[in-house]
Amino acid sequence: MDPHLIGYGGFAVVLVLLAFRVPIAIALGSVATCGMLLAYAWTPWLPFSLSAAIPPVSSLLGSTPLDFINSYALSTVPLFIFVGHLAFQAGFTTDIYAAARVWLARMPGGLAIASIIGCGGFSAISGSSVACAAAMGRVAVPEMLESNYSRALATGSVAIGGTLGSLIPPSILFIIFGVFAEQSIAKLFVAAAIPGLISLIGYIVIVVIWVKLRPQDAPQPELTNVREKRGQALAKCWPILLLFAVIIGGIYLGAFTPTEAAGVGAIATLILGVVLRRLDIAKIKEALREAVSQSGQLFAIAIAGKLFVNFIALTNVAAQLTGWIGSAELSVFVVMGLIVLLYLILGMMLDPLGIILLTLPLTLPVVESYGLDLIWYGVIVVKLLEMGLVTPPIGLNVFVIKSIVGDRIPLERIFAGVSFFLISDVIVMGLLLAFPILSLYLPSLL
Amino acid sequence: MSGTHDGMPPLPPGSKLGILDHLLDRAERVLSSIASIILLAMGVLISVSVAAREQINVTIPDDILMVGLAMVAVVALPMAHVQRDKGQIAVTVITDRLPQRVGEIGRVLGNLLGFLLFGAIALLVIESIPKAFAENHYYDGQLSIPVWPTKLVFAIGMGLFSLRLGLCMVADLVTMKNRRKADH
Repeated sequence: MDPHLIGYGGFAVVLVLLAFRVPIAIALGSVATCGMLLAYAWTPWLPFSLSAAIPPVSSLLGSTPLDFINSYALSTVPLFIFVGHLAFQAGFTTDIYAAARVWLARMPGGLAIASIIGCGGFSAISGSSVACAAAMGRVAVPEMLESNYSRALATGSVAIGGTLGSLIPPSILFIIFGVFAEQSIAKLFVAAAIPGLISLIGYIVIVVIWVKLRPQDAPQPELTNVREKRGQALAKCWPILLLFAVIIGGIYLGAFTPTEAAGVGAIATLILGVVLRRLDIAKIKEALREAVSQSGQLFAIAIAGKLFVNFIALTNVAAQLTGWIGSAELSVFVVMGLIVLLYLILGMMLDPLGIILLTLPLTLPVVESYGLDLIWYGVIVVKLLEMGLVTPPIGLNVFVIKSIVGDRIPLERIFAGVSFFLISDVIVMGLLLAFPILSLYLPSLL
Repeated sequence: MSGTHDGMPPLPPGSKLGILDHLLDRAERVLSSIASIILLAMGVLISVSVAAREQINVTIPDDILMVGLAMVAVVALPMAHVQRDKGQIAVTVITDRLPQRVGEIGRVLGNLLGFLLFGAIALLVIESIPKAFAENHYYDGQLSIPVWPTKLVFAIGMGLFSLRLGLCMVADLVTMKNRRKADH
């Protein structure tokens, strides 16, 4: 049987299984295993032989998952997850929001802007968008609602701000992309700094425009002694700024590899939290428990994704697709347009890690064949995945906010709030596509 | 939506399945705690290694290798506990709009496939352990760390994960059966 057909069939079966609620890890892994068995058993020009397929597939199953996770580079993921949970337990991640809230109290839409800046601060130490939206959502959304902010602005600003967790380094998605695309994780982190900052500024601009057009959506909160609180609030931010300087500064200055930055960041956060008496044994245990639990979930998908990548490589589908695109002489704009469309559609249905693992085996060879820079491509992919986190019908961050506000706000209101911010995302995406230098300038200095 | 589907449905506490669930749960909690300690140790090892390199120009032998090996424990050991507690990430947008039974069948199918997949991985790794032990396979490095303990840790993690998925499948079937009885 034509191995390409097995490859395309594999994609189709994965999508069907996902639609029927089979977990992503299990759908990818079981299809990859069955697909590899078929591909080995059904070699072109030879009779079907399952017995011929079992030894190579057994060898792959017995070695690939273990070899994959026995990885120094991938240990960055659980360590950064741990840093995020520790910083959250210590309250470091909400300090930025608290400071921005006090400083911007008199500004129209100040609380929404403070939420977005708070998300940016959280993202600078945690690598997960969903964690960012969950943490900031619990703090910022109730306060905005109490201050009579419109429901759409209160929820939309935090849902979109949460997406910064994937773009602003450190980012779990960049680590996974770096490992699968064999690109420098340090360069990916540094490449995302300017796009992350532009995205953050874009969201703030949207709040400013929104409040200008509809001032009733963001009435001034009644805060007392704001002036006295400003110094105190700002002073409390030094731990998170120090940690960010250690982690990202260390990588940028070449003092650490990303894994070292994650390890040192984890221990520095722990020491700071204990010394400042913001962490006790119970909180440390909780952070560790959450970190290993989240890592277990993520790596179940990553292991299965690795098997799926092997399956796709075996069926040569990517090479055929690259050949087709080459023979069709499609321009780079059309190809990138199609890729953007693919990610936007999948982003409406799947979680970011699943999308990365499902699409990279196909898109990377195509992008490489056009001579495009894979660091730049990584930034584009992660930005697209971020957009997928807030686009209907499925937007993980929107559902996270929904779980916080309960029945008080219907899902449609949250999506309506997010939709204004998506205008900024579309513009930023256009800028990143048109000006790769925005992503590639800082890595070129490394 | 795309999210984790809930962990395992409860089993009757006194039943054989309930006892098995209880025993597995205890083992899973211990393994999850071990993974937590190893994660912390991983951070300490990296930090000490960086400090030693920067301050006294000394490197810890095989530090990179040890972090990689620790990673195996951090990832594999908590998987079964995660499955019981939170379940795996799944797309529920379509099944949420279909009759409950369709979603339940999807869950059973997912758990069955997962049981087979991760069970096969565990068995294949277990098979290779005696050879690694007898032939004294070790990782390239200064400390000559043997291969078999890593394989054993991984096999334990995957094996328990597979067992948990099998038990989840049975629990889902029991829940489906009980609901059908109640409906009638």
